[in-house]
Amino acid sequence: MDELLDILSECCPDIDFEVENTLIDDGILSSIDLVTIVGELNDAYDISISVDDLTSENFNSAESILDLVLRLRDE
Amino acid sequence: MSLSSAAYLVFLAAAMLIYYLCPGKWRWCILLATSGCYYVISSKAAALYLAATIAITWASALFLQYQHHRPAPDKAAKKRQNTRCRLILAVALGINFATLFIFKYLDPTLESLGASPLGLLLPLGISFYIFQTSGYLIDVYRAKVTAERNILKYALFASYFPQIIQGPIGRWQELAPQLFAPNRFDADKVRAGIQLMIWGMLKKVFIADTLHAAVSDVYANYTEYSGIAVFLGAALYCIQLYADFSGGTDIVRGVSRLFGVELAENFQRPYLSRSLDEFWRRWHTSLGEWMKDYLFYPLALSKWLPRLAKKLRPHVSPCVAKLIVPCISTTAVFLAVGIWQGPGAANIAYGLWNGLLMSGAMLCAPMFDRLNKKLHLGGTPLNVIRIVRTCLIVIIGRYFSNSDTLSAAFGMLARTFTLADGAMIPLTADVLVKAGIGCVLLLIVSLLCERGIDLRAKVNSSPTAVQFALLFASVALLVVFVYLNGDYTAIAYVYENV
Repeated sequence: MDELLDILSECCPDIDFEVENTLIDDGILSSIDLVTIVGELNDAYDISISVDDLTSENFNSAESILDLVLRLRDE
Repeated sequence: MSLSSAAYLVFLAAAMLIYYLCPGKWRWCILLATSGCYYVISSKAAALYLAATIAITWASALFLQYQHHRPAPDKAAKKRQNTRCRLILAVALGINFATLFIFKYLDPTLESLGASPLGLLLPLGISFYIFQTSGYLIDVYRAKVTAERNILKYALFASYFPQIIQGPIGRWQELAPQLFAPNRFDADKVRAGIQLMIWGMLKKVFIADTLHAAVSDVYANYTEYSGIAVFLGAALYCIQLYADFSGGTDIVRGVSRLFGVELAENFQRPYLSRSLDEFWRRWHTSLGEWMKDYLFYPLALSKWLPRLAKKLRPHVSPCVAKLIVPCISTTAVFLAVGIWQGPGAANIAYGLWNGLLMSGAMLCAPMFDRLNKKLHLGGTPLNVIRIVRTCLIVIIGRYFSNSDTLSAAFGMLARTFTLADGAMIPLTADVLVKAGIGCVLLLIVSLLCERGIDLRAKVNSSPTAVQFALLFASVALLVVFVYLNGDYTAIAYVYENV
């Protein structure tokens, strides 16, 4: 989780990923932030996040992002 | 049939009467019949093209769904199935966008090549229904929605009459359940619809149509005007366009509310944005969302773009490296927005102006943050500076989007930046008073809404006499200036023919 939080904070330094849990629903993450994060996650964890994965369920909080990463790594 | 014409209001009243008299389960049929009548009355010759688009996209979506659900015993079969689905989608989207290209860009392209144009008439609302049906197809492909089996229901989704002229571009998930529901007469919704329609008409008549003549003259004869007049012309065009497009959208949303159908909000006070990025999240949001979901994300998450970014990484700093994909995708999206605006190099330049500036802003964001900290800028002064900066960027962009040619746009820019001598913008006292009152009213309403004040709720909770007085004053203004004024000529909506 710490490694993921580092990646997320590096992409969007103004967002507190430890607290926020409505990143998509409240428009805290813009589409550009989202694409930047996806690029970094794909590289860091050798996964391939697709357009279909870009849902609020997967990106609303650091926990849900971690779940997505773990799920894609297992596939 | 213009949205603010008396004929449209009579048509609307008749449609409403029949809609609510009809049994609930058949009400969507009345909406379909009304939509069909409206399209045939407004653009008889083009109805066939709309019907063809409906038939092709409806059948393609069903075929896509059939392919999705076919049993695939092994991985190879699944792969073949996916390839077939991609092919069906590509062919259907290809037909859709080829139709759009033929009607919108073929004649101007032929003309620019020196060939004689075919004289094709642009079907009413073609950009909007092509985008709406294409979005539906992609959603079916992504299994986000179930393909509609009833072609008549699908036809209503594609041709719903309030929105066909100028959007907003609807999504099946949000629009279809409302269209097919047996919406009961709801006095509150009807009242809200009428209020929105009146507000939209006031914007259109008092600001957009009033400024139209002066702005058009500046753009058409910019060589005769001074540099300041050209700048003012472009700034007034920004106001005219906003009043025209958002006013039209208000009317459309108001009309839809009369039938119990809530359409997406397309504008959220864009000229109070602090950055170009924010501006585009507040301006024509249904197109922005469409571009984001169906172009920006697929591009940014494609295989080739991150691969290209990886190749470029060693040559740039780490900060720039992580922004390569968003920057290229953003520029491509705005290029598409420019092309969507219309044919010609000026529109492409408009798209590039926005895309490259947004990419530049992403890359320079850390530098701007450091600068602001050094200058101790923050709070309201910084916000005001940012809003003014955004407005200036948008105004310069409009030099391109409203010019007939790229050289005219650069000519206008040159006059502005060299402060060339010439005539002043031709604003008569009548125009100044009408547009001035309209703009002040619009600004006050925008600022109040920006502060989270629900003006409609305030009006509705005020004493009946106040409500009646407001309604009477607004309707009286419209009747006096539009329907009883011999000098008034209704101007077509800017985005009616895109």
